[in-house]
Amino acid sequence: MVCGAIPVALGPAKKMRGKVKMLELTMYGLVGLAAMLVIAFYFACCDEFPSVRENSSLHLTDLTVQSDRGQAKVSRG
Amino acid sequence: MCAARVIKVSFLPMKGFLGTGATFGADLNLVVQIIMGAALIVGALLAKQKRYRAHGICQTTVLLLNLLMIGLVMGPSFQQQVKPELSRVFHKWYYEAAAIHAILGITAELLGLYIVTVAGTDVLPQRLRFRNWKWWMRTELALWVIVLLSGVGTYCAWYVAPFR
Repeated sequence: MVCGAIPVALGPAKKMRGKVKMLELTMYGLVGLAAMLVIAFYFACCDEFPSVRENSSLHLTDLTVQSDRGQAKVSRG
Repeated sequence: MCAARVIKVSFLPMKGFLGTGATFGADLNLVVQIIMGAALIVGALLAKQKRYRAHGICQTTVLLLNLLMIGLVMGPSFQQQVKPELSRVFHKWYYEAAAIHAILGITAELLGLYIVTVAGTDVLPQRLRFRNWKWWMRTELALWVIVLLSGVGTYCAWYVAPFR
């Protein structure tokens, strides 16, 4: 009779633990799925996204120096 | 050439998979947003069950993933298609829906980042920290659901209604 009472007392707690575990698994599944989709999307379309800066500012500075030299030559000539 | 590249970037011209007039990026974004919305609701249920660690991981991951989607899809799309026309044709539903969604979305994202910063770090001083956790988090969840619905509305205004 005592042994019979144990499952009755543990039942709801065990059920609750199972429910929480299922919630947790669902949550990790959903977040993981969303993350995988975002990553897959990024790799599928990364060619379409603009690079942050196509010409580095250093390169632009080099061009400016070159054009200044050109102007200097012209003014000398 | 530059203009052509901008148009190519803004529309991501791969055909979508939901059978609307949307691009692949827009379709995928919609699916990801719905999944993330479901994850947030499950995360809220976890908080109710006092599983705060799992709750924190869930909500923070969704917030950061959404930040990524804003940067990859929604931000560039808004920048190219809506922002240049906003001052002239705000009355048109096409622009109105996107603008409302953007304002609500930015508010929800910033509020979420604030909540995550308060909950997960000690960066903010005491006077900027809140104590009424439930109120702030429930407000954020409600706002997120509204943003999700306004996003679905924007999707319909952009890709479903014009193709009927």
